[in-house]
Amino acid sequence: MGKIVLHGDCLVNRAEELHHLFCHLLEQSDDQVAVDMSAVGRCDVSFFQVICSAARSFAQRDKHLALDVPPPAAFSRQLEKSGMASACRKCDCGSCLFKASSDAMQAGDVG
Amino acid sequence: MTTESRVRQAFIEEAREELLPELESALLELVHAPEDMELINRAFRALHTLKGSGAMFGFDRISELAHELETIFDDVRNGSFAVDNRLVELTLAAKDRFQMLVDDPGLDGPETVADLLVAFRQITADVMTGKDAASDSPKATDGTPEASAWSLYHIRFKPRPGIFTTGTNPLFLLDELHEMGAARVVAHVESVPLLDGMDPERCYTWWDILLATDQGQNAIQDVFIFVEDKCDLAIGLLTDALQPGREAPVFDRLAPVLLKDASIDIEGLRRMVSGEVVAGDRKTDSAPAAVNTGPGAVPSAEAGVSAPAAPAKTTSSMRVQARKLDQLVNLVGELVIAQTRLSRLADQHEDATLSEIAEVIERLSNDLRDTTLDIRMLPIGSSFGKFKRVAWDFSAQKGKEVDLVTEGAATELDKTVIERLDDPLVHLLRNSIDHGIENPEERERAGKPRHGKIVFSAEHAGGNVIITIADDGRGIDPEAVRAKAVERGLLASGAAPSEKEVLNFIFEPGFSTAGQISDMSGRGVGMDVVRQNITALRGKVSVSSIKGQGTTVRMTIPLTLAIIDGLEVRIDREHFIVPLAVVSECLEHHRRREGFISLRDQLVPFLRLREWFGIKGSPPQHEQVVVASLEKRMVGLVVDEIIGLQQAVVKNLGRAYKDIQGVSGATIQGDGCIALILDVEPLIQKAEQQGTER
Repeated sequence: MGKIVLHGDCLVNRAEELHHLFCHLLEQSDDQVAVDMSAVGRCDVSFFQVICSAARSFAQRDKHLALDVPPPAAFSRQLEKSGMASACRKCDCGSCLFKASSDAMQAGDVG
Repeated sequence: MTTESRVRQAFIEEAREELLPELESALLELVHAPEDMELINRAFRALHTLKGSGAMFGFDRISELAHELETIFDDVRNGSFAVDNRLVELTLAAKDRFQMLVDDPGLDGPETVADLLVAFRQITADVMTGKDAASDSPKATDGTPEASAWSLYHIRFKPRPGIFTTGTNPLFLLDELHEMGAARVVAHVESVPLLDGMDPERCYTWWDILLATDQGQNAIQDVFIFVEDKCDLAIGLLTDALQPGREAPVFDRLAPVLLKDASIDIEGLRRMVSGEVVAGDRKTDSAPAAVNTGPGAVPSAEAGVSAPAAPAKTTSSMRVQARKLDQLVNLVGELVIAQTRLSRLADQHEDATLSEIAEVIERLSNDLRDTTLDIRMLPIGSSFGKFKRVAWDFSAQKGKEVDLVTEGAATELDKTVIERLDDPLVHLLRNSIDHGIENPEERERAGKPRHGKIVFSAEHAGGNVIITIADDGRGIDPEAVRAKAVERGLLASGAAPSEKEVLNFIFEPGFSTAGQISDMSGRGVGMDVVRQNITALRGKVSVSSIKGQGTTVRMTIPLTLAIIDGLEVRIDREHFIVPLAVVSECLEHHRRREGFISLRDQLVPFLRLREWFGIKGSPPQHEQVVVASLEKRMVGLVVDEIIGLQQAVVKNLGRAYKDIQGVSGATIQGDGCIALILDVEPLIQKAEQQGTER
């Protein structure tokens, strides 16, 4: 299983870089990639979209994107406030990091 | 440049050119109309954007200070806070601090705004103390105040795909909605594509938001005010009878429906809400609340969800760096020169096809020139805010009461001209306040209103703009100026110049009749610099004054410095350009009376350019005359040949040529030769003088 650690601000100025990173992971990884988001700083919608797109793309190829270490509480709160956490419940791609993050926060298991 | 630095730079430019001038202008107008809601809203909106965008682009101190001020101005909007001079003064100080932080982002330390934050918090505390005292008594008699019902809104926010590139972060807008009350946000991510089809800088997400708040629809629209043209927005009122704290069950019922069925209409949502309110909160006889149809409301209840709140804008604007515009003008200038060359070539070869192509290129080149120059035109009103601030600051400093009246704000001038006019105009304004306008007591003694008045006006006149600054102050004493001119050896003691000539001495270097030197003016280094600056713009400045009644300074400035239409003339082998804006007609030269030509029963003085410029050789047998007029004065310019119309790309002459009278610049012609551009004013003067002597 591969693992990726995301850190720092994940804003639109890094959207291209993060998109490229996940494209690479999608091509190169085995079945499952674990994502450590514990060191993620500020984020915006562009980041959420890349994560969402990555989860679906993995699912489409029968691969799995899994949350390894939950993101900071601020990140999870942002997910809730922006409605992203609930959006994934509709999507149900099975690789949803948002849902996992949200669940982790509700369980008190956040960074 | 990275995306981040691009959007940061975009914020800096927006702050410098729009937000801060807008804030300052609104504040200075508020002094005279402290209850004008439009002005209050203008100030609020500018602060709101400074806060949001400042935070977004890492200008934390700007955001912090703007937040404090925004809160106060929101209270002003709600009527719980009144605008007074103290608030205006402090907010102007904050505007200056914003300017400083924008100009030097490295100053973003907490200490940069600490003093102002303390001052604003003190203002807030003062008002709150007063408010509490006032609100305590009714509470004591009424008991516990009844909590008023909240309104529940449905907001559909669909950002345009390119919204990120404008520097907008939709999450900030959602955060603001959360701050207005209780909100439940439903994100729609169905359109987010797979990685291989994704442009990561496009926005694919849109939102439904349920907001329970005690604030009105206008407050919600204010959140989106700066993204109106970057999104589709619909706001619908679901009910105005929601008990605070009872929103959760309503959210729980509606949110899954919105998530699952985005096509649900507002009536469907209202029915669901109505059921919830009746069942969960309290019975209400009211039908589903009508959608607010006031200003800024969504078009209709039915359209509330599915239609955008504001009509889609068919026009838009974009910000372009001034440097790029300058580059464009330079390129157009080069194109014009090349086009002139092509036209000449076509004339020489008498080739119909070549001539046809040359004509097309000429037409396109003309259109391109006009369009490009038009892009660079700005209303002079864009500078008025600065002048109002100068008037406010300096009149306060000098203990004077001054009203600055501006006229002709829409008058357009080339961007470069406006920028280069700033310094001389500010100096003239300072002079008016410092030396022209009397202090209030002195004015009362002279039977004038306490408030001095300075009228700053601009208007088009041919190819020029005339700008005047007129005050109703003490005027200039011509005797004092004459005495000073004699003392400085500029005028013979027995000379009897006209009053106009006397007043013109104030433009001489080092000339000042001011008794005291102030830090603003009176050093005698100002007016000559003003004249230099105006002359450098190929403009003119003159002064008229009536002692005890006021002074008027009048400047004539060309519309543009870049490219002009001209009439090419030749004397011997030298070519000149007469600006077309001053040409009234052309004729053969038939001398009927020495020194004058006869023009429809009018005698017009003429001037031989051959003699004026000292060009040797003999004139042709049949000379030609270009009749030029300027402000109802006319002159006949006698030349060897009138060649024809030509666009002239204006190039400045170097310092070495600054004293040559009758020339304002030069242009490069199609064959690479230089032609001088004539400055008609001194030529008219000389011709008039010669005519009088004869």
